[in-house]
Amino acid sequence: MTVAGTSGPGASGEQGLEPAALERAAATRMRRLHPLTPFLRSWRLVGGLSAVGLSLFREDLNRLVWVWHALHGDFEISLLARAAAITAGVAVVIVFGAWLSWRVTGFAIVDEPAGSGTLLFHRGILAKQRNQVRLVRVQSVDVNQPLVPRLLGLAAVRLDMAAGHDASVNLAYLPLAEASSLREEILRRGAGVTTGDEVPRVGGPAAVGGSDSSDGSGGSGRGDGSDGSGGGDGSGGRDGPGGPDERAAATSAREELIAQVSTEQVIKSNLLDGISGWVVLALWIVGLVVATILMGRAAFFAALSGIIPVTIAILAQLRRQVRSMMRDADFKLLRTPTGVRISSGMTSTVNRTIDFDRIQGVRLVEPFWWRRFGWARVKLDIAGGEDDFNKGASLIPVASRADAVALIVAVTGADLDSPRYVGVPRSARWVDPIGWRFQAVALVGGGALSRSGRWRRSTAYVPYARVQSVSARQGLVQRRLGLATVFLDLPKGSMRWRAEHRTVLDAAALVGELGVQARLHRLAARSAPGSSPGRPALGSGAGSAAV
Amino acid sequence: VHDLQPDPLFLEPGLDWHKVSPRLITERRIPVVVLALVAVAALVIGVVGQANGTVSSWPFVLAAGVLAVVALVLWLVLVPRMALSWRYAEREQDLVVRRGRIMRRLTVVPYGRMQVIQVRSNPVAHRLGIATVTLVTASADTDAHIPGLPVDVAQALRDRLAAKGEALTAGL
Repeated sequence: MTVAGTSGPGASGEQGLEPAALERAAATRMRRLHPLTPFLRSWRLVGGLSAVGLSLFREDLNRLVWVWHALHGDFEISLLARAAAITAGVAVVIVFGAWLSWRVTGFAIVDEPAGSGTLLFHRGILAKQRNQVRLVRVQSVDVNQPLVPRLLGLAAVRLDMAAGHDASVNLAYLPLAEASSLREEILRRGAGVTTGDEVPRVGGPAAVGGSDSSDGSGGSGRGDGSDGSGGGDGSGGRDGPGGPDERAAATSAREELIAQVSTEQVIKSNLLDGISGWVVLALWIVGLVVATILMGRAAFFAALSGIIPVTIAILAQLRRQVRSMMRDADFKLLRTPTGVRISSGMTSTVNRTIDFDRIQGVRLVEPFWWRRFGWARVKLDIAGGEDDFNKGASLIPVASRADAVALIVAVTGADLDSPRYVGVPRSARWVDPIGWRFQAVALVGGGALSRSGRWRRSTAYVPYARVQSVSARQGLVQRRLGLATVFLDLPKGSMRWRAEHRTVLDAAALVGELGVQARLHRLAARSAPGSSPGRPALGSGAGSAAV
Repeated sequence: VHDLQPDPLFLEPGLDWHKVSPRLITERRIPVVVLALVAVAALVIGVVGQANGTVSSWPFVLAAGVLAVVALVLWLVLVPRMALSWRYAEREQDLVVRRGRIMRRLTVVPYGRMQVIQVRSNPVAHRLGIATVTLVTASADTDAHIPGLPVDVAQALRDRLAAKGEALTAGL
């Protein structure tokens, strides 16, 4: 991605300035990142150079122990001198390289006569990279703090563009206060609010109908039907609220906390979720011990060979759990004018701004042990979310089921407890003996619902407007039973929606109906961006979801 | 022999289902040739090894026999049946592709969702004068490709699809 002289996303804006003019304007106000940035961004480089330095000693590596001896007076002066010289040399190279890279890296926000401003981001020593980001095109601005920068009081400002991961710009690292104020400024400009004496930007079509504030969320003068007018995939632009009275309110100050989960709750619920794994592990160990006592050592080795795969599976689960715990710790869900913002993380704080229009699917997950307590988790599929950053994002890591369902209604307009679920015929028990009773699908206003899972119940919702194609599949056994499985193929970053083991006639009807609905909703989304049907206000109605 | 039974899901009656060229069988038989060659190689190694007294021949002969039977079944039965199971139909709003005998598959791609239409042929297909038309959407799960189309048919299909896709997105 380090192509010389590239111009970044949104560069060729119809109302943008000439590149040369931008450069001139930028040169006057170029701002630098924090001087420690090169070290933090390229710790691999630093590590690599150190390794190179060390490898020069490969011959003498065992003699490096002599440093110890040297401290006791038994030293070989030439070796120490070499070590010192090489260390110093590497340090100089690193510091010089870092300084050089810091010197050529900078960013600036440049005003445009007709637009809301452009962010320029320059970097690269050999391959120069120049990104121009028109702030109107910015989908979300997040302030993130990975562990080490967090300890140093630094933060990264990440701008997500409609075009997805490749197009995002990461301004790393800035002092936290500066990062926050930069985020504010970008949001303000992106939403069409300009500072000072500039001409205010004329709002887009989304500006109409902003009088609906029946959500009772406290003075939001903005119609939620017009939330995030970015429209279909890649159509991109985010039109800010347009009326003068609304514009003033469109800053991040309007974010409102709608749900919060404490770290303790996240950890507790995650442990409970994984309890089956722990029970299995304990049983294995007990079985191993018993078998050893009863049948001697041969049985021990036989059982050991069996326990290794189980242990690996358990460790994988543990790792996944720890990661999700770390990610969801200290979880806060905030409402923004066009979507939600999630702030969470134990060692590193991650902010995730998600416009409603980027939500491609929602899943309500109810692990077996959670259902005793009536808990549930809501997962999100986000457009352009192929990267780790967005993958498997939780809308809420744990909440009471009612709150979780209400939250999904608020975000997508879909009622997961729709009475329209239709199950599968009894013959499906031959292909799915455990779960067949719990397989069900329902077609609701804006999308399709699919429910499954005997123990771990999962309900997936997909808006019709996101459907790329409809597929069906029938294996040999299914054919004997007169069953087939229907799929909805979704954009990258989403789980495939599936309706397992429908009767062939049912499946045929489903394929036809899903195709028609997908087309109608796609057309509706295109002709009237942002006015996708059935999306009520996300207000305090969702309640503060607490376990 | 190779005709498909009507099926409400996988072969909806009343649609104008098109078949693919039987030349696809030849293309799909190439990997079977490789398998047959491996069988011959095993047989040769076994016989020569036995003559030298270095190896015993029966494992090789057995392997060669199994491979030969598999190759024969593939060549005569499975490959032709699978290759001729492809059907596609152009509907008003979408393209329908079905395939498979043992595992049947159906994909419905709306013209409005097509991002890229590719026409490709590998060297063997090129010699046979057939090509594969692939429809790409924003979803990685969309598996809509039609192999074994005569090149002129493939190009005509591509042009029709492109025109329909354009017509359907023109109202933007």
